[in-house]
Amino acid sequence: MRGAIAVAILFVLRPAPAPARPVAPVMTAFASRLRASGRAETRLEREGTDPMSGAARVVPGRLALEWPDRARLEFTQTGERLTLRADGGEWLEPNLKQMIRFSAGDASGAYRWWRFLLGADPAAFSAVKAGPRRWTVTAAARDGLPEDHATITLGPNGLPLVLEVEDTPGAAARYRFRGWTFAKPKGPAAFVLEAPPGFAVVPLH
Amino acid sequence: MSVRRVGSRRGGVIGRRAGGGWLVLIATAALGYQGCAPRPVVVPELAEAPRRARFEAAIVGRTSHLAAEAELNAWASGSKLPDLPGVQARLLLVGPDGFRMRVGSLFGIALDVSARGDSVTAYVPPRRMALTTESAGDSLGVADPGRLGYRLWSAAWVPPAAAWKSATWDDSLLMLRWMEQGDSVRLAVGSNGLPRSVAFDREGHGGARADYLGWSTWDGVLWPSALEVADATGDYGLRCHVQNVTFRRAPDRSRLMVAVPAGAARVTRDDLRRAIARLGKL
Repeated sequence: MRGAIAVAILFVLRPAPAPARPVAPVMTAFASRLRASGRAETRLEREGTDPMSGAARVVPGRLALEWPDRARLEFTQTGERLTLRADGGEWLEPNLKQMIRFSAGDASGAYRWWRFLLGADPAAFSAVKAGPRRWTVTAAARDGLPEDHATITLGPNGLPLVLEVEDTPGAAARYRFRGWTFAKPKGPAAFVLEAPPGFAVVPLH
Repeated sequence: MSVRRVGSRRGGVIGRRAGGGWLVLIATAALGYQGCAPRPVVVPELAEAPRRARFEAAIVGRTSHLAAEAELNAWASGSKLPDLPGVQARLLLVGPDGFRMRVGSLFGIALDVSARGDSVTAYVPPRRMALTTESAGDSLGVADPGRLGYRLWSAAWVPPAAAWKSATWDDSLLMLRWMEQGDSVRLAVGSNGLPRSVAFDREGHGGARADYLGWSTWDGVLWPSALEVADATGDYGLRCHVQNVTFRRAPDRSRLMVAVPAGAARVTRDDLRRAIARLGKL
């Protein structure tokens, strides 16, 4: 009985979890600069640990975002490129000699975290403070996608520093951003990929 | 620039045989550049003993490393599948009866599947869907998929001694036949002592076939680098190119474990099949 009472007291006295709040204030610094200039660019490193080998892997790349709905990701070592727009996008995979064309619905899962960075749909996300300049962001279930979570860490300047997404338990992918710059937008044409000669173009459904 | 349908361009199927249960993998082999100059015609040696000796020496090399990791480029096709793009995956084999494959997606992992003996765990992270079974033979219709996958990817087919004694010739291929767990197995061995194809049949249930179309050497071990698997009906198939094989002598079976989040939806085989067919929608 005493034990049960002690557990109950501990339960009552435990620190309350931080409340979820709108995500917009978390990304204010980045969103204001992106909207003001129209385009944000950064070098990035995709870091992850292969759960099968235990080996860490770092893949360098570049990310460009343009307000309100355009994202382009390039991995320099593999030549892999990905563009995402409100109407869909393309995924170029040199290793497979193929380029996949997809609709917005096809890529909604991949698109959701770049939309979070773009600040295009803040109502779809909420955030809970997880540490100094660190937030756990929840993407609401919608469009047939389950609820999903990621962690964003901001730099001292309020700009995104690390976006961490967990595919499978214990196997997170971290996108580490290094040096955001802001410029005039290049426009939609810069976010459409064309397949090199000899590549298969595969439309999704 | 033309738009091509993957299914019409690439062969191969992955399939399951009803009842007996066979996952089938197919692969295409990239034959190396041979040049244009005339070359002497090499007549394959049609003697069983040296071919068997080559076969057994090669299989010792493949199976002495109890764990192998590899990168895959794979294309699925078949009449029961929609047109699917090629995928890149990482493969882990742990002998004698385990494998795990993680298929990449637009943003992370599309599918993480593991088989250990008769146990299977498959997880689709974008959909938070998982299938777990400890008796794949009963629930999936694929008996001992871990052992099947290991043997398929490593070409670790070991005919009984009687199969060598009754072997026949089909052109330059030495054909071995034996029965295994109710399946009729036919293994074709080429003049280099390497498996050329393996086929399974069970009366009333159809069959499946794997063709080893290319081999490469990694770490001194001849290993399948291109294979195709298809079921007899052409419903399912898969063509794979295998790259960057590395070996480990001390396997860690814990690496075969697919972690499934507590909140993942537990689904049936058909649910999972539908989810995999929609893996492009990521």
